[in-house]
Amino acid sequence: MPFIVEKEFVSHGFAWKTIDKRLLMFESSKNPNVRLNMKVMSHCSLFDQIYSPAIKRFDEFLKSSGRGNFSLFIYDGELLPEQQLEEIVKSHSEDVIILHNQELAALLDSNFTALGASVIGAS
Amino acid sequence: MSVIRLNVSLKNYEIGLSGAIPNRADWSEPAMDRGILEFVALFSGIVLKYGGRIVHGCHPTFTPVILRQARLQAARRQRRPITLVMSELWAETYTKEEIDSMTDIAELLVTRKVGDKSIEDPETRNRSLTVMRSVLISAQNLTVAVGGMMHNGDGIVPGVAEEVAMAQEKGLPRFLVGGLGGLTRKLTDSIAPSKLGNSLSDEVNLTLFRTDNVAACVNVLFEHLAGSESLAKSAQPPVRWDPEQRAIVDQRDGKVDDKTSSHILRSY
Repeated sequence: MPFIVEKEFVSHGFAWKTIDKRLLMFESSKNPNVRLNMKVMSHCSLFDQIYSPAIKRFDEFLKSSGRGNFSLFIYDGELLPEQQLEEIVKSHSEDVIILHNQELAALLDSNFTALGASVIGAS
Repeated sequence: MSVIRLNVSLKNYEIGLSGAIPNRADWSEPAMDRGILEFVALFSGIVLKYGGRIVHGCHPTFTPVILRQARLQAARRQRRPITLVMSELWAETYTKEEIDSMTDIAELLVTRKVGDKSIEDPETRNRSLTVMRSVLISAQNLTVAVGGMMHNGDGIVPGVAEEVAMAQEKGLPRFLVGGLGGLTRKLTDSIAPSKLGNSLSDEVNLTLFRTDNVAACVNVLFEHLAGSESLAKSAQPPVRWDPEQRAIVDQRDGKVDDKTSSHILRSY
C-alpha cells in the first residue's frame, strides 16, 4: 500500500520521504510557488480496518514530529461506512483526514480543494 | 476538524454495472472470481459513498455484493440508491421474501417475458433478456463492464456484449474493465478505446483493458468520475427512466417512450 500511495503523490509532483519505515509514516512535499511550501504527513495503515492503536500512534507521531499542512491516515481493503468513520474520528484528538487509498487521487487532483466543507468536528 | 469524505459529488451518475462471474471453464487464471467481485465491491462502494447510483441486471453473482455496499454506504438516502432490472422469466420464481430482501434498498423493475417456454429455451431467454436490457440501458447514463459470461456455442446471447452494444447505440459513455477477464476482455479485442465515448485517453483506456490490478481500475474510474466535466456532459441521455412517472421519458419534451415503457410489468 505505501507503494501505491507514494506513486500517487509522486505522479502529482510531490517529493516523497520515509520518516519512519517501521511505523509507515511518510512526508510528501512540494513547492508550487516560492511563497508556498506544502507538506503532507501520511500514515499508510497495514490493516484492512482502521485499527484504533494505529490511529492513536499517528496522533502521537503528529504531536512529536510537527504537523504539515495536512495529515492523512490512509487505509486499504473494504471501504468503511461513514457512521463507522465518524465514531473513529470522535474518539481521537488530532485533526486528520481519513481516506481509503482509492480516494487519494481525487484529493490530489483537486490540490486539496476537494476537502471543502466536508469536515466533522473532532477537536 | 477532521475529514472522512471528499467534497466530491457523483449524484448525477446512474452507473450501469454490466457483468457476471464467467463459468469456471472460461477462467483464464485461478481465483478470477475474486478479482471481479473485489472490483464490484470497491467500485460500487465508492460510487455509492459519493452520491452516485448503481443500475444492474440482477445477476446473482453481483447483486448481493452491490446490495451490501448500498446498505453500508448509502442506507440513509431519500431515494433508494440501486436500480435492479429483472425479467419476469426469473422474477416469477422469486418468493415475496426474496423480493423484499432487495427492495428495502433497491428499486426493482420487472420486465415482461417474451415467449412461453422456460429459462432453458435459448430463444425465450434471449428475447426476454433483450427486452430487459432495453429497460436496463434506459435506467443508466453510463456503462461499466467487468467480467461477463462467454456463452460459447450454447445459443445464448452474452449479456455484456448486448448491454455494451445497446449503450453505444444510445450514446452512453462506456468503460471496459477487460483486465479482469470474461466477456469484457474479449470485447476489448474488437472495440477501439477511442470509440467508447468516455473522455479517457486511449492510453488510460488500454490500462483498463489490460490490467488485473483491481485498485488501479477503481482508481482510474473514480478519479475520472470525480473530475471530468466532459464525461459529466456526455452522460446525459435525453430519454431515460423517470422514477416519479414510473416510465421511460424523453426529458426534452416530456413524452413517454411507450414502446420501452410497455416492457415494464411492475416496479417495486
